[in-house]
Amino acid sequence: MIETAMVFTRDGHPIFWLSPNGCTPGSVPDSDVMWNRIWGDRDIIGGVAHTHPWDGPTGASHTDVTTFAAIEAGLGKRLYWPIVTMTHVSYFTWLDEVREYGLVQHVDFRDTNHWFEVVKTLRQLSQTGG
Amino acid sequence: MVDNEEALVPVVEALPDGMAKLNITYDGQQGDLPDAVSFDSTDADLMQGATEAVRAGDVPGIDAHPDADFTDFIVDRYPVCAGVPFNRLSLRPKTPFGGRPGDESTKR
Repeated sequence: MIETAMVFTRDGHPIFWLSPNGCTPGSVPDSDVMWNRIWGDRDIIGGVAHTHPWDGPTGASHTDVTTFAAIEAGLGKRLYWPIVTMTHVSYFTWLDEVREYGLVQHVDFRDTNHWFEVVKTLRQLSQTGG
Repeated sequence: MVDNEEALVPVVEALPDGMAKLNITYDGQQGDLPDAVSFDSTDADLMQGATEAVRAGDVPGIDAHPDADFTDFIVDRYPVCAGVPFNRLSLRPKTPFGGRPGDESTKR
C-alpha cells in the first residue's frame, strides 16, 4: 500500500489525483504537476487530501505541516487538509486561536461509504466556514 | 486583413547564455524578477534574492510583503526548449507529504 494525494474543490469534488509514480508507503513526492494544478484551480480549490496507509486516526507529520504552510503561503489562502487512513479521515486546518495546524475532526468510515463521508464532511465544513 | 504581419511575431526577450528568468509565486500572485539571474544559481541564492525583491515590492505582479518568507519553497529549473527559447526558474511551494505511525507533529 502506497500513499497518494488528491486535490478537491470547496464542494468536495476531486479534481486531480497525483500519479503514484514515486509514491511510497511513507511518502508522496514533490510534484510540479500537482502544484500547477493547485495554482490553476486556486479560485475553486478547497484543499488537498492525502493518505497515511495504516489503521486508526492520524496526526499530520512535519513534512505534511510544512507543505500545508508552503502551499497556503503561495496561494494566499487557507485550505483543508484531510488525511485518509485505512479506517478514518482526519481533517486538519490552520487554527487561528492557537496559531498552528490542528485537527478539526475525525470521521470513522468503517461502517459507511468512504468517499460519501469525505464529500459530506467537506460540504459541511464549507457551509459552516470551518 | 493584417496590415503588418510583423506585428504577429511574438516578442521574446533575448537572454545572455547561461541566464534565466525567475518566476515567483507568493500570496496568490505571480511575477518575474525584473533582472535575469544565472541559471546555475543555487537554490539558497535564488530564495535570498526573491525574498529581498518581494519584501521590497520589486517584483511586478506581486505586492510588497515586508515579511515575505520562502521557507519550504523550492526551485524548478526548466532549460531552453522548443516552445520557450530561454531558461526559466520557478520558485514555488513544495508539495510532498509523508509520515509514519508515531512521527506525527500534530495531535491525533
